Amino acid sequence: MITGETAQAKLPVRDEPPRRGIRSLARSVAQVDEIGVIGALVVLIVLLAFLVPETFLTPQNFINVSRQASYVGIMAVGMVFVIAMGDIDLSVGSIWMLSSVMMAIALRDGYSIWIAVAVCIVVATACGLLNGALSVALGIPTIIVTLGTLSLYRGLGLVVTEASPVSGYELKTWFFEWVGGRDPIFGVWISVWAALIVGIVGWVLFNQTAFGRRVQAIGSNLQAARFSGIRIARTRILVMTLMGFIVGIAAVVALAFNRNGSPTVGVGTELGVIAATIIGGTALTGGSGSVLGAILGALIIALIQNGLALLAVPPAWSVAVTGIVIIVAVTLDYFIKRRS
Amino acid sequence: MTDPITTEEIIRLDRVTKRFGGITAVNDVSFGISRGEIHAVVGENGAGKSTIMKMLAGVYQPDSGALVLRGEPAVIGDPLQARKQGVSIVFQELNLFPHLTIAANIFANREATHGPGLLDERQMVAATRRVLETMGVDLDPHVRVGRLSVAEKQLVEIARTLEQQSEIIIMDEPNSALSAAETERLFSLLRRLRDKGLTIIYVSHRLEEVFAIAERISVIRDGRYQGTWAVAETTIPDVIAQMIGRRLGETFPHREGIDTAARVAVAVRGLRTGSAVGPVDFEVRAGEILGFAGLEGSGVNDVFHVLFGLAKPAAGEVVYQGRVTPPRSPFDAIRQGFALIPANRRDEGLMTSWSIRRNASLAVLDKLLDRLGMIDRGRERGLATDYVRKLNVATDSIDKRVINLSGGNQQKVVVAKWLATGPEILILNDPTRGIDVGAKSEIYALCDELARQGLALLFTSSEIEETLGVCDRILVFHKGRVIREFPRGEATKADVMHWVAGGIIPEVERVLEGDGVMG
Repeated sequence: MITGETAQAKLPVRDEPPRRGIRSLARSVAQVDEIGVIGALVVLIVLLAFLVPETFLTPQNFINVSRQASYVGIMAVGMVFVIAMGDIDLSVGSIWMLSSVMMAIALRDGYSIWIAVAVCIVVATACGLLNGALSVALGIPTIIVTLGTLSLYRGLGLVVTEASPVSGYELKTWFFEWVGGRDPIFGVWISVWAALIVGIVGWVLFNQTAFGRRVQAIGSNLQAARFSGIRIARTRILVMTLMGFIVGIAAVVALAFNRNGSPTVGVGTELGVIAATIIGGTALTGGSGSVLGAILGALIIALIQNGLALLAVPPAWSVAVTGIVIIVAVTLDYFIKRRS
Repeated sequence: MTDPITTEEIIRLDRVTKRFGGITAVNDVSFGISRGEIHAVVGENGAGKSTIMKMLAGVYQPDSGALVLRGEPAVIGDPLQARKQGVSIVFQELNLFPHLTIAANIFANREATHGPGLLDERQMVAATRRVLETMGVDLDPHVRVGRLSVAEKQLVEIARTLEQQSEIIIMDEPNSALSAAETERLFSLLRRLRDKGLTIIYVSHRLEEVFAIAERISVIRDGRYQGTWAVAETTIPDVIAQMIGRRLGETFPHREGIDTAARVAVAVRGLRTGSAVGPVDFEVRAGEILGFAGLEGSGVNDVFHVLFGLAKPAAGEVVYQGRVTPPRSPFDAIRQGFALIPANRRDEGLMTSWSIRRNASLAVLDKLLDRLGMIDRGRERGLATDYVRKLNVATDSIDKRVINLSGGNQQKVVVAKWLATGPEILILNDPTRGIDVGAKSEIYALCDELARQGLALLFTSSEIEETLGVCDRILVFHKGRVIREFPRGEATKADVMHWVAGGIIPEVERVLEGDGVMG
C-alpha cells in the first residue's frame, strides 16, 4: 500500500536557500521579521520630511533623535530576550533609576569612576537576577514579580537619595566629557554607539548561539522545551539577569550625559522599552523576536516625539500619538505576515 | 440479535457514514437505541464510537445516512439543537467552568434572569438543588466546581443534562478517572435515571464495567457496526472477539530471539512513584525491544517519566552505567544516553511553528557549535538533511515549518531530534498515534533497525497489536504494577487485553494478593 506520503518522500530534499526571482524576492521581503517596523519607519521619515522639511531633514536633528532613542534602544535589546521567552520585565525603568543613583552616590562619595561604573552594573544585574530568581523560586510569573520590584527598586532608590538629585562630584573628567559626549569623527553621541554595540552583540547572542535558540524554544513551547532537556529555570534566571545587566549599560551612558543622578529618571520607561520591542516584531506570546526590530522600534518612538515637537504639537499629545503608532505598526506587521 | 423486549426506538442511526479527509471514520452504520435502556457502545480506540456519539449530539453532521429521533427523521445541526431535542452528551473531558459555582455551571449560557438582565440567583440555586435531590446527590449549589473531585464534576454535568430535560444522555468514557466506589455510585445513579424513563448511551472500552451496567451492547470496529447483543446472552470473550476481529495486516518486522547474554542497559528495581505506582521491577538488554501494555493511569507513563528525569520516584533504583539513581532532569537523562519520544508530539515533542531544521537540532545544539560558540549553520543543515533523507520525511525543504507537515512526517521530525542525540536507551511513548499506515510501518522497521544496532528500546502503544508486533517481550501493567509478562509470540491480543483490564478471571486477584509479579 503506497500512501501519498511515502510516494512524495522520493522527492529530492533541497537544503540550500530558495532560488532568486522577483516574486520570490517580494516574498522574502515580506518574510523579513522586521518588515513592519521598517515600513513604519520609512513612512514616518517621508511624512516628516514632507511636513517639516527645514527642521527635520538636518544632520543635527538626526543626531539628537538617535541619542534620544539610544537608551530605550539598548534596553529593548534585553527585552527581546525576555519577551521571546514568554516573560516580561516591568521593572526596567526602576532598575535604571536605582543603578544610576547608586553610581552617582559612589561618585559623590569619592570613589573612582571605574568603581562607580562597576557599582551601577552590579546593582542593575543583581536586580535582574532577583527578578528571575524570585519568579523561579516562588513559581510566580515575571509580570507579577516585576510589578512588585518596579515599586521596590524605585522605592529603594528614593530611600538612598532621600528623593533629591545626587550631584556635587567632578564633572570635568574624561567620563562625562567623552562618554557623555559625541565622537570626534562622525559627531554621533557615544550612547548611540553603545546601542549599536549592544545591538550587534545581542543579535549574535539571540540568533547565533544555543542560548538564544533555547530562549526562543521556551517561549515557543514550554512543555516541549522541558522534554528537550532545556534547563528552564536556569535559562529564565539568566535572561532576567541579562536584562538587568543591559539596563546597567544604559544607565551608565545615560548618567554620563545627564551628569547628575536623578530619582525621577526612568519613570514609565518600561512601557517605551516594551513598545519598542513589540513594534520591532517580537511577539508578545513569545517564541520569536527581533533585536534589529527592537532598536528600530526605539527609533520610531523617538522620531514620533521629535516630529510632534517640530510640528509644535503639545508634548501631552505625543504620548497619545505614540500609542496609535504602536497599534498601526503591530497591525501592519501582522497583516503582511499573514498574507505571505 | 435484537432484544425482543424492544418496544420503542427512541433514536436510530440509518446507514450513517462520516469521513474526515480521506479516512472513513464511520462507515454505513445502522442501529437503534430503545427508550429507557442503558445501551453500551464499545470498540477499540479509533473504532469510530466517539464520532458516532458526536453525530448524535450534533457536534458532527453525517456525510450520508440519517438520524431518526422518536420515529421521525431528525437534523441535529449543533449541540444546542441536540439539547433542545432532548439529547445531551457528557464528554470524557468535562466542559465545566472551574471558577463558577455548581448552580452557575448548570445554568451557564441560559441563566435565569428577572428584570432587565439581572441574574435570578435564587431561582437557579433552587432549581439546582431540586435536580441534585432527584439524583440523590448531596452537593451544595454554591460550591465552586474547581473544588470538586472528578466524580463530583461528572455528577454536575449529569445534573446539567437533567435540568435541561434531556431524555437521552450520552456518557463518553465516563469512568476512566473514577475509583471503584465512585464508579459504583455512578452506576446506581444511571440505573435510577433509567428507571425514571431516561435513555443512557454508555460509551466505553472497559468491558467488565459495560457488562455490569448495560442491558445491551453494540460493537463498533474500524468504523463499522458489528451487531447488538443483550448482555445476558453474550460473554466478554465474544465481545472482545467482535471488537478485534480480523485485521488488515500491518507489516511488522521479523525479530529474532534476543541475545540473553547482551549487557543489561537499564535495570529498574522496586520503583515507586507518588501516584500509587509500584513496586515495578524490570530490566532491558542492549538490542532488546521491551513492550509495555497498560491502560491510561496504569503506571507506564509514570515509569517512562521517571526514566527520563521528568518525575522523581518515591523509592527504588534505576541502574545504568554504574549509577543507581534515575536521571535528575531531562538534561541529565540526555547526557546519560536516554531519549524519549513523547506521547503528545504537538505539546511535548515539537515547536510547531519552527522549521524542521530548528526542531531536529534543538536537543543537540551543544554539539553543533563552532569555535566561537555559535551554532554552525552548515552542520545544522547537514544534520537535518541527513535525517530527512534517512527517515524519508516528505518535504521539499528542511526550512519548512513542521506545522505544515502531515502527522507521520511530524513524528519523523521528533524521531530525528532524538536519534540525533545518539541515545543508548530509546523510550517510545505511543509513537504511532495519529499517523498513517505507511509511516507506522516505517516506525516499526526503524525500531527493529535501532535494536539491531544495539540500542535498548522501551515501547508502548495505544494499539496493543503494535506492541505485540514490535516487541521482544511485553510487560502488562495494571494499577501501577506489572501483573503479567509475555515473551514475543506467546500472547494474543485478546490475552493482553484481558490482562490489561486487570484480568477478568478471579485468578488475577489472587496473584495481586500474592507477590504481585508473575510470568
